[in-house]
Amino acid sequence: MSLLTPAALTDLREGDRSEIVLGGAFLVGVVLGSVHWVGLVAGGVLVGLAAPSLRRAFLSGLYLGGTVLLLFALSLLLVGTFGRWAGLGQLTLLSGGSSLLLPTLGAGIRGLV
Amino acid sequence: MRDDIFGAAVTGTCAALLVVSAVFAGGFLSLAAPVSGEAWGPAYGANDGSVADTVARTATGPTQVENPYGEATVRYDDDGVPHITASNERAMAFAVGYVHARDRLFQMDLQRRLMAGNLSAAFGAQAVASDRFHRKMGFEDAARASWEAVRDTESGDSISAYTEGVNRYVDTRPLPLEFRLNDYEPTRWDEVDTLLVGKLIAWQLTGDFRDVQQQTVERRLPEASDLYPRQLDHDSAIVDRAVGGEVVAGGAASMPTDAERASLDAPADGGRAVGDMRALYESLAPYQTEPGIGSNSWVVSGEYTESGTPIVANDPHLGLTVPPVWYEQHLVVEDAGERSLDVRGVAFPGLPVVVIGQNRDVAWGFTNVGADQTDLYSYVRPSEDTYLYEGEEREIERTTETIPVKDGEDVEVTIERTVHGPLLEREGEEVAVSWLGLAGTREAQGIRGLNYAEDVDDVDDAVRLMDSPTQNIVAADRDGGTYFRITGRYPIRTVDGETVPGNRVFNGSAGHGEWQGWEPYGQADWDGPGFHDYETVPHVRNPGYLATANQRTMDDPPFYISYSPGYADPYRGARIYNRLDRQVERDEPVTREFMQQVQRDVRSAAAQQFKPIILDSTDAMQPETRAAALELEDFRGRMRQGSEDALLYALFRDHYRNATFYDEYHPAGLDESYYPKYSTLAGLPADSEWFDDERTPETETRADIVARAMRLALEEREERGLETYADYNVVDLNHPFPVAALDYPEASTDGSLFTVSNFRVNRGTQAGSSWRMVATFGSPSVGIIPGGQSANYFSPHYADQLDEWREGEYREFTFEVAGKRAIVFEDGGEDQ
Repeated sequence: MSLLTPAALTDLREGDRSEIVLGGAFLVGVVLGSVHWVGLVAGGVLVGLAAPSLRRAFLSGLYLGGTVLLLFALSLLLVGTFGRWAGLGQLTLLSGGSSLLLPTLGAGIRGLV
Repeated sequence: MRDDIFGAAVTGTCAALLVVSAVFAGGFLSLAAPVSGEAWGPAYGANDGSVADTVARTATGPTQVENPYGEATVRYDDDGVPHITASNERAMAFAVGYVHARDRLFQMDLQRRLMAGNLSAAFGAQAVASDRFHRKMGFEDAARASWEAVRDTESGDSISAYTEGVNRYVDTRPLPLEFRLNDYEPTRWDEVDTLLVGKLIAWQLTGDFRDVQQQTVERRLPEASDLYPRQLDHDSAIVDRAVGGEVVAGGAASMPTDAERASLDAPADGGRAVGDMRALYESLAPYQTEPGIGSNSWVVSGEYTESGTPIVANDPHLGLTVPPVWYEQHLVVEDAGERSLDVRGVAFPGLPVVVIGQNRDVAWGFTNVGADQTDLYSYVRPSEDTYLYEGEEREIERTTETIPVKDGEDVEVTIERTVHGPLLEREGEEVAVSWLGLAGTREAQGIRGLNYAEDVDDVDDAVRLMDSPTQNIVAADRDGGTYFRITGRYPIRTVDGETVPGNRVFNGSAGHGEWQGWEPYGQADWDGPGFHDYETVPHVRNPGYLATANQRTMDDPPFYISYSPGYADPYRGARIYNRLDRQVERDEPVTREFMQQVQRDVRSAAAQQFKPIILDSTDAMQPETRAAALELEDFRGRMRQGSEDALLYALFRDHYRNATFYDEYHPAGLDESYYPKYSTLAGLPADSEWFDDERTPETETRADIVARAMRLALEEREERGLETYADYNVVDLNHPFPVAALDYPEASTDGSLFTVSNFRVNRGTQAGSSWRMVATFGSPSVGIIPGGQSANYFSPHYADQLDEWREGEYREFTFEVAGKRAIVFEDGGEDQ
């Protein structure tokens, strides 16, 4: 535990409802990440703060990004344009890469707090 | 403590990476982030057949849009072709504008930016030269003049409604991907923009600086004058070769010889276009009609068809672009059960009407005439600010415009104009340009008239308003009428009272060659004394069959239309006529399928002309080259993908032209764009001096040059690893943006620049059949475009016609209003 971590946050992380808190942060993060790319970072920060460990924070960030990407892919499948998205080359890589990396990097806040 | 330091380091690293991403890639992240990325807006709603779209349509019905002019409904069929029904013409135009913007907005914006000289504002400094040229030419002012000419007509009403439809889409729907990729937004559409698109088409078909090019050749290589005859040596002129019908044209014109003309040319003293004009020409050449823009069309009357009704075929050969030049549409105006319009065909996005196509009564198609519609003038210049005009010293009209440049400094351009038009200068050489389209022209009205025509008499009335561009129109009606005319207006040039051709730079100071009653950027007196009487313009009523392929109009035209540099080599025209002749001679009825076969004909009349030249020259070849050349003995000129012979011939053809002319043209500073036509090359006698290579002490003959060209062709084949024509004749169509995914997939096709099935592989922008149509009455017609209807990358109609087009297949079309209701325009209640 870092010296910068508020006691209340520590209680949340280590309390009985720690998984619920993390799950809630995850859901809020998915919503934020679907609104703007900054939301992906903010979502990562949220799950990072709620995660009990740095490792768990990174994994949660990664899952968060993966979930947003999955929802995106699903929506494209429904509107019938997934194949075209997949064929966009650099833009495809950028959308996939940013989705996985941004929340993961955001979750890195767990190292300090 | 160690954990804290480690944790802080991890956080610091992550934060640093995020900051770097935000600073250097924030724009890209806004573009491509999943779900929220701006690039994905066009992905939603792009596929009408998707699960989400079907559910949404079932739950909430089609997209609802308010239309101030009345009701309209848009249905997209399986090919992405909109079938639009509307209660009146303006409601229709509004819906067409909305649909064009939905499917082609970026293309529309690009076209108007190009012509108005506004590309740099969106694309940066690379476009400044283009913007400078287009602003100097003043196309936007010309479009304003055209708007003035049509605004108080039904066509003007329609254009206004169309404009509103475009803007309704721009205001309410996601912008196409291209705007997002380039991070700019389109300005609102304006009526003048529609006319500007019309100017673009007209300029691409008739805007050229051939006169300067010709003068450059004459100054630098005077011995080449015989290579540019007034008429190419062939007997396939459109009108002369036509079968049946009543030819109407004034008496044959007599023109002064070129020698007589020499004394009438640009001013001998003080003029700035009397000397070498290569630099000026080469600065202007990138913006003129591209060589190779051509087309085929022919009409066969019911006398020769199986159905007993006429058939019209047309395939305009324009640049093959992504998205395609053309947009197919079906427009129906019906009120209280009365149908006043039912027309189907292709349009240029930006124009609210069908340009080539058919309605239930009439079918029509266009090819380019190649007429001389641009005259150039030089002046005596007493000072930097003045020019002499008919004995009077006049000020050059000068204005300064600012070209905004994205990510760069604005550039100022000085616009100079004289009484004749814009003044263009390069390295001290200058000419003023009179291009017919710089005045107010009424082609918008003319084309609208075609949409409503009920017989060929109506066609005749409609095209009377097509002041520009000059086009061969073939048309037919349900009752059996057939029709041909060269559209447009033909200026009379006089020098000292004598009528002269326009193939030289005129002495503008003396008022030579100027068009009476025509004023740049103003309104012209088209029926006045400055233009040839419309009734004497060549036309044919009720031809049995007649074919146009950009060859010359007539052997003895009633007035100067153009000389051989303006017309195409005769190969395609001759081939179409030969096939029609043979069908008729055999008493075989002409069917739609036969017309399609002719349209896809890949036998090159040029190859048949060059083949004996090759075979006559084998004695001059080395054994290996000779062996390869002899393989062409069985070559029938068919330019098919799998053919090895077609490949060798195609490579040979270009080497042969270069091997013949390079040694004379290159030292004169003239590149291959100045070379004479292929049919001229094919007609050179075996001992022509042009075959002697001036760089060698020997005297070469045609056989020596053929042998050399064949050797070079074999070397090229080897170096490039080519095996068949398919390896060479690759359709490679690229989007204006350097994003590979937006390009069409590459694949080979049949055809060549001289086959009826036309494809020109060796150009910056490849060219070919931009719309293949065979229009019939009473049975389905057929058509296809090289690509897809939608410019939306995410649409299934982005390139869904490309493979069929490459393989020479067609899609049938009828007047059935097909497809699910996609957009419903509700009456907004304003006065109509």
